[in-house]
Amino acid sequence: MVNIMLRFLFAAFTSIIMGLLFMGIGRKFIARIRRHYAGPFYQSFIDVIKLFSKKSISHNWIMDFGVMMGFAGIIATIIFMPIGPFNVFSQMQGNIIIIIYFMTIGYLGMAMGVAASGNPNATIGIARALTLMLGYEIPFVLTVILLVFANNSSLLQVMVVNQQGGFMEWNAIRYPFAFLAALIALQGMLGEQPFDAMIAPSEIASGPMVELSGKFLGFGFLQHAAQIFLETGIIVNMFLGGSQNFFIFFAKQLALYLLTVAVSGIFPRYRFEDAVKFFWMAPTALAAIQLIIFII
Amino acid sequence: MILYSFLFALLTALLSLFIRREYNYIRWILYSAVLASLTFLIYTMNGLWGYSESFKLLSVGSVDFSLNFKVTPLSWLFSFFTTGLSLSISLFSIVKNRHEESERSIGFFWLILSVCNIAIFLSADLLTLFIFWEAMTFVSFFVISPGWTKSFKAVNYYFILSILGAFAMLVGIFFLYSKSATFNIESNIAQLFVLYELNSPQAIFITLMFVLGFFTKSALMPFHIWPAEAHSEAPDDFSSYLSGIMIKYGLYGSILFLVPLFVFISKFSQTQPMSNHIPLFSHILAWVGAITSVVATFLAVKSNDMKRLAAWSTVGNIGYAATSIFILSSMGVAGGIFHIINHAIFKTAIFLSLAAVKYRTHEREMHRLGGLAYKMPVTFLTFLLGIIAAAGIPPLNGYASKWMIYQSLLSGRFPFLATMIFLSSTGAFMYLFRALHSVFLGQLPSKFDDVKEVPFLMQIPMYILMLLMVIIGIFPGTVLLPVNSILKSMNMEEIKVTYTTMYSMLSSVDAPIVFLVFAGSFAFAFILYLIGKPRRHVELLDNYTAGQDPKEFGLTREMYHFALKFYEPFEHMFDKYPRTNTKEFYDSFERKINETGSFIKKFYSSSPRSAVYIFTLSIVLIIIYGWLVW
Amino acid sequence: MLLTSTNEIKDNGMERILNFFRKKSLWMLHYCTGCGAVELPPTMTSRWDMERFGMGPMATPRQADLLLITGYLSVKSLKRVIYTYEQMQEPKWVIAFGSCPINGGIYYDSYSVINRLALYMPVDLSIEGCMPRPEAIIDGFTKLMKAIEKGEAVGYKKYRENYEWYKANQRNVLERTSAVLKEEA
Ligand code: SF4
Repeated sequence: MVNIMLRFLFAAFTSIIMGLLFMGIGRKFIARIRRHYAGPFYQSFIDVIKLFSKKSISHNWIMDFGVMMGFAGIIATIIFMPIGPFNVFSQMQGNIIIIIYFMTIGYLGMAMGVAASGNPNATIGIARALTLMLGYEIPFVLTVILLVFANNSSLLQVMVVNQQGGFMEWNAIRYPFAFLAALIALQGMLGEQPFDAMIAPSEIASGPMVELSGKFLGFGFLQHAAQIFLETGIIVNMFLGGSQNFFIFFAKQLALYLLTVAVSGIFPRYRFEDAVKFFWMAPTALAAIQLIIFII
Repeated sequence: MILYSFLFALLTALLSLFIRREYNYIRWILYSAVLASLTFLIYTMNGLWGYSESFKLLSVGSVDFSLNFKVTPLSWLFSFFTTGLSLSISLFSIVKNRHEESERSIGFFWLILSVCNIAIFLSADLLTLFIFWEAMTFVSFFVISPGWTKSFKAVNYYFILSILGAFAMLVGIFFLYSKSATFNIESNIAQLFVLYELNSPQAIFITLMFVLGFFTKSALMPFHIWPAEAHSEAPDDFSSYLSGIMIKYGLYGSILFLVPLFVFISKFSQTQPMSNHIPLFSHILAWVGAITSVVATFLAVKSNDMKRLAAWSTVGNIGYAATSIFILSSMGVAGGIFHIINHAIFKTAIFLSLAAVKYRTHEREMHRLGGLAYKMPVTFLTFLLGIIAAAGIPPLNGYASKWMIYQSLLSGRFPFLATMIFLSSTGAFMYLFRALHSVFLGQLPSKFDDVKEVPFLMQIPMYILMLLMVIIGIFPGTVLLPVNSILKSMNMEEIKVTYTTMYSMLSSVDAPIVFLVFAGSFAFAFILYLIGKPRRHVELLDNYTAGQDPKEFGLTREMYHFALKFYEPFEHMFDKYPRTNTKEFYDSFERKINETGSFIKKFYSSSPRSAVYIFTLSIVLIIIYGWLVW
Repeated sequence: MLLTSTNEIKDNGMERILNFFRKKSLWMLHYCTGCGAVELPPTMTSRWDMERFGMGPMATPRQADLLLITGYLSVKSLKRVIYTYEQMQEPKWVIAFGSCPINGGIYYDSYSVINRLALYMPVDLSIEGCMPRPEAIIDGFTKLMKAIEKGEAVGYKKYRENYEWYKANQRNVLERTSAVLKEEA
């Protein structure tokens, strides 16, 4: 029991710390793309501590509850993901369907919390985010189905094991179209440009975050950090062969994240219904082609 | 025993007609008592598999027509859960119907309906099934439309479709009877299988008749429009019965009749076309289910009426269950049955909470509501847990069955079906959140400032349903172990499951761990929350308004509630594509029928002689037809 | 009684430690009232790169720590600024740009522009100039950071302590101009 709890805490803290670190490095990276310097790489930690040290408001108990639930949902999902060689539970090593559904708790919690604030901007943002979700889920799910078929298991751990033995065994090489589709879906999942219409700051006043102050915004930050860790982690496990070494695993995640950041650094923003259309066209076609190739 | 309890219930219903309107609640207490005793009776029948009762109606020549009841694992599970849920709904109705005008007929017919419900599940042969099926259709007509014009119009769709479906089924039954000379289900399935080998077009026709009967009742494509009409116009508490329980008859029939047939075919047939190791016919039906769920999802996203939205969601869920059932693996059938039970529970919860909202506010359009969660926390929680379960989010019951459905689809290698189900599942999250936000979150309109939580008696069923959702979510075995005995009785391979863990070919899930992980993460978040500086509550209009003071601005809470046209841009995405409107099709169909009817009526009533002509003509036609067939 | 000395309300103990983080992550809400707004984009972007200090623009008052009053402030805007300021969460700071919020600048005799912002809101730092160049702005920010670290930038506490006094001043000016700005009242 104590052992499980320690493992739980390890996973939770790793995800938060690494996620915040990735965020900081990502900011630095994007600043270099735009030819300036930005703050230190640990800037995100400072931000979070500052946010938790501020006073805050909430409108009712649902807002408190929802924001906590949103964060808890993402953390709970991370518990099921293999982090390098590490698994919290030995019998459920990254059941991908559970992971996809568990992620929804996070979205539901956050959505509920900010909707309870009663600000229409927040709800518009949520409506956009959920619509966008309908877009990127389809290519992502197709790639998941492909990998489940290919490995005859829905455990991420099994997928990782099947990719051992060098660079050429990676699913990214074996199924390049699916990898591309997953990358585009990842861009949407992380809400980076060009798919960031839900947090448009000057149009809808940063959307879901509009009424979040102090520690509530801090939870939003932590959730985003954990989400970066989670989603890059899933793709690394699925396509880039996971790793038996923590640091290589983190490095792969970071590389993936920097890729999305780089893309976001040079793109403007899609209207979100166009984004949904795009998701249903290009990446879905890619994933479907790969799936059909596989089945044949 | 079964028959006597039915008679007892019918007698109570008759007696209750004499209760005066001021004492409405006595009637409902009586009903609850009857339903409780029925539930208990069914509970005691657990394990008495094969126990049967028969009641002779009449005999023509040497042929006996009788009502046969039999307890099988399948019928037990369905009748137990549905009766239990009706009990909880009737507890809700005690208070809800106290001042209802047309309540007397509602209650009377409803109790009869509950009897039909159990009878359908317990019936041992096709004739009994059909008799109670038809009775259910007629009786439910009166409950949905207790003399209200609007609901009368709505119920027409339901009624006509159901009647047509039932008659299609009747045709199928009698065709089969002419071959097998018995109404017994197993021998008829065997007979139909033989027919598939000998004369497959005829067999397909008969199967199609049954499919029509079942699919109209369960509102699968292309009969998917009636729930939106009927469920939304029915009395509020009855909607939960309609949506939670009655819509399942079609799927029950499919599990009872079609699934064993298709399993037979897939195992032994040499002649039938197969695809993906299941009969093509069954594969097509699975696709019908998936398409239904997607279509219903998109229609639900568009609807602004909360009951209509929930009704579309029901159609969507029926679609999943149908898909899962018709892929015929034991995982799929088990997942389908499990999802039917789960759906009955969470949809009852959703509709009861909506009924509670309507009880207090008398509003149904979502954009006129809002912020009720701050006034009605129990109702809100019921709805929240309901939509968490409905969207298949762990750790409540919905995810367990959806997990099984996905596992069956993936291990049976149906990638595109699985994608469709995923699509509609994400869409389900979309529209359910919309309902949650528009009704319970956001700004509270000032006219609802003194809305109160519903009375405690109405909360009791909500507590029960919440508890059920959580318990089944944590211990899926409570339902899945009985489901296993169903599979056994259907000669299918059992699935591997314990009280807490579900296994599939691809992976396994330990449900309590899933729950504990969520609880643990929540505790973790809560500790972080406590570490942060304390927060303070502010009122709803103290909000970001770009610096403008809402009071001077003339901004009211109603205006600051974003609920109307929630997903409008998303809807506009499909503007460019031509739209086929099923409802319009049915409407034009209705007009045609009306025209034909009035034409015939004119012809018929113009002179008595022509009436005689028609009568003789039809008799002659029937005789010629019978001569040709036999 | 107006409380003028900041010594009694200085941050101490734990707050001093937290101030270290606060000063390194100042998120600002720029209320673009006057000419000064135009000097902010160069300050924010590559040339002067304010993000080095962990500063960045934010969308709503709930999220921000720092309110920038960028130039002259008409009475009409004052009302909004006060509303916005009160929606911000403590600790929060105000920086006034240019001469206008200090003494009225070139609008010193205008009927619709306030002359001294400090009468209505606790200004933690004023950057003079008409208009202050980005270098001056950055200099101002670093000064504010030092003050925050020392626990001396406590304008929000002053506002809380002297709430009545500030309110009276605000009421005064709003009432005085309500004859002109009738449709607002
Ligand atoms: S100080 Fe000068 S630049 Fe600034 S607002 Fe006043 S007039 Fe404009």
